[in-house]
Amino acid sequence: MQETVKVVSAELQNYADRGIFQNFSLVEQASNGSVKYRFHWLAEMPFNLTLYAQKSKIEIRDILPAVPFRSEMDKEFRIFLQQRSAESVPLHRRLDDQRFTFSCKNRQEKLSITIGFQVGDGGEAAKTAVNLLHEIFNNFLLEGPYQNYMVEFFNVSEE
Amino acid sequence: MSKKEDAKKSKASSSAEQESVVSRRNFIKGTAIAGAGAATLMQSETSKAQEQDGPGIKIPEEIPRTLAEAAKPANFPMSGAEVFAKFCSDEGVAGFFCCPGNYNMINAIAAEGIPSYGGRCEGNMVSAADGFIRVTGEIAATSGTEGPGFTNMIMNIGAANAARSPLLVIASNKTIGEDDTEHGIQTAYQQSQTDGLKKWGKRMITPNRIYEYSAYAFRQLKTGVPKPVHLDFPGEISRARFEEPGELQYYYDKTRYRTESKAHPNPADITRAVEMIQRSSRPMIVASTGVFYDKAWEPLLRVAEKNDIAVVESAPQRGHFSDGHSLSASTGLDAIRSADLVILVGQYCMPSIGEFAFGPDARWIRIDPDASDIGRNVPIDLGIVSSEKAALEALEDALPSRTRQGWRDELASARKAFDDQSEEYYRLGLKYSADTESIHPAVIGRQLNDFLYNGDIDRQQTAVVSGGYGIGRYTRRYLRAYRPGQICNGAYQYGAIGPDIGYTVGVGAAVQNGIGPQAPYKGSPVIGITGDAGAAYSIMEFDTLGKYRIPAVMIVYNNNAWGVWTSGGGRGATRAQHMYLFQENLRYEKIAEALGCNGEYVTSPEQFTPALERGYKLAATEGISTLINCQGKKEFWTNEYPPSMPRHFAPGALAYYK
Repeated sequence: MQETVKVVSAELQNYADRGIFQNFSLVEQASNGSVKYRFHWLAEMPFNLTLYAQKSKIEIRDILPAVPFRSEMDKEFRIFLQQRSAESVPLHRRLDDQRFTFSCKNRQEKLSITIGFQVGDGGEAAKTAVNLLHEIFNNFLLEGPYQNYMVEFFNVSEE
Repeated sequence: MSKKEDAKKSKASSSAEQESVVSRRNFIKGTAIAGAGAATLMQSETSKAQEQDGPGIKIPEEIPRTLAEAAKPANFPMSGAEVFAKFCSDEGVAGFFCCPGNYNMINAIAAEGIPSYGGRCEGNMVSAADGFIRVTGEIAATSGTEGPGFTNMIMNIGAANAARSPLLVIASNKTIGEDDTEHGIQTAYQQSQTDGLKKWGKRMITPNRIYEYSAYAFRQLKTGVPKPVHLDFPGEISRARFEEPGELQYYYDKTRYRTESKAHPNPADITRAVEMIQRSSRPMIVASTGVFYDKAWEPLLRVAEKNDIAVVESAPQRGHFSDGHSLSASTGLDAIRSADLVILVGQYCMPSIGEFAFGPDARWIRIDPDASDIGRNVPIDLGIVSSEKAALEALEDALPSRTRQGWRDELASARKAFDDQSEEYYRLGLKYSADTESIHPAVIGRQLNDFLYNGDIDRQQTAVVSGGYGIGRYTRRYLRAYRPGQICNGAYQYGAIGPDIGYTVGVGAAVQNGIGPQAPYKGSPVIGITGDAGAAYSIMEFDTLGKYRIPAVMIVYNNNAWGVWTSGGGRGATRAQHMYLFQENLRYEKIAEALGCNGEYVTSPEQFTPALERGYKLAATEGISTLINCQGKKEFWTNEYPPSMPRHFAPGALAYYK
């Protein structure tokens, strides 16, 4: 368990050291192996990533706010997530659904993603989480009709 | 155009033949005016406005006559203005755009033979100079009078600054003798007003240092990373009299006051760059502003082809790497997300992390002539201080030949996906147009693409000012650049939409004179694109287009509103919506007609290409510009019409931030 915490923390710290994240902190570590991380990156508000080392899961919590359950955007997001494992996605960016499990939850109109991994594969799962976040912001939200959504909920410029 | 209108036009043309005055109806035919104004003025057709009662619109005989006058370069004894004008000429200033004011100076510059244009608003003339620079790579100058004229220039100087244009801003500034008195009118302290909008500036106060400070200005304009340089000339300077060279300080040739030498890369850095490129599976060069100004497009091509490195453009101008090349990623947007090594070359306006779509695991090399900027915003894995051309030549020498078939295949697949998406948008646009009895911007973009690149016109021929806000988010998708300086990216970084017609004047002047990369297409029509909000700022420059017979077709997307109108009603705002809207169905094309140009009104997809064909032909054969008013709907920016307002994507064909 400690090894998982170590490799996931190191992997995320590496993005901070390289200057990809604007900042990075380990904000809470519980005795049951859950560790909460926070970092600023592609949006004004910070991302919250939680490692459940005992369960071998990483959750990126509340990535997208104000998405009603079963709304068009909720559906599109789930389709997008599913399609990231498709053969049409270049191999180097494809989500490996043989190696990891991916699930999406909508709690109080906020979308979260959980990545399940095999013991010993936490580092790669952390990288996958970061790359998936990138695809969500630089692909799903960019290609879809979300200009007005981004202005309203992420404070991006109207211009 | 209706048959009735055709008949009226024919009748008017016939009566024009009988006129003896120099007018738009009877004008110099095919007279190439070299030097002073460099406008090719041709016999015109009659505009609808001339069919009205009252005196017809005409070009006064003084315009062609004075444009045709031979240049008269100054020699001692000279005024301060003449010293400066001669200096500009010796430094190869390629174009000059002004409104009257700073009289001694603008007269002296015209007399030197620098192609000179006078327009209707100082700000638009700044943008004309900026547009000229963006597609030629050469220095252009702009001038306004003191106080009001100068302050009119500010927004446009800001846009040139954001684009890193080597723009020479000159403005008159009362007299030193009246400083602080408020004697008379138009007093203004200029230099503080361009703080943050220029590379360097100076209010001259010592007459015999005019030559010396001119050298300061051109050192700044011609070295390192360019930006506007602002000189203001009090009357004591421009009117000063110099009988012989000995009265001027530091009066010697440009080989003494500046150098053409450029920084070359450290060989160790090139070795490291080669190692990184060789380790990479999917390297991508971002060919930006510096590649164009350093005229480095040929070594860029050779480097890319030698090692199969993809290239994406991001700059205030496009075309220094052809969109038609198999290694181009400018329309292969999804491949940008796949790059594992990013090589920024001459990226003067730096994105922050997240502004470019590169992934979090990509490594970064930055090549830039300015060491002090390397590492800003984007952390680097390797920085190389060098001129862009020298670095690319060094890389070309050092890199082994290599084929990356997988990467090429991914690029091809990404370009196809982009084209497929564009076709899908076009199909949606046709449906939305039919549903609303208007024209959707995707239809404009797609038909423009067909006309410019898939018809009888050489696809490299037409330079385009890619402007507008909402319309730009669609037309950028369909525009292509196949040679350097083919696209002027209007809103680049500053996001100003108002200058678009000003840019079109400058780009048109650049093509009219065949400057730099525009030489093979000298005299060809240019296309401009803007929105109804943008057009309002600079539409009076249709007089300038008409007066100089700059052949242009300006597409104005008219959706009756500011592009950001959804911000006024979509978030529970009260009493706000009215501020975002205009009167509906305004007839901008009639303004062009009233200014001696041609107007077309388009309200459906079927009308657009014919209007474009007529406008282009009129521009090519008669030198008469056209405004095509395309009537759309503001609701196209809502989610009722997906993809509504497509979001910004950079780098590549859709980019305008960086």
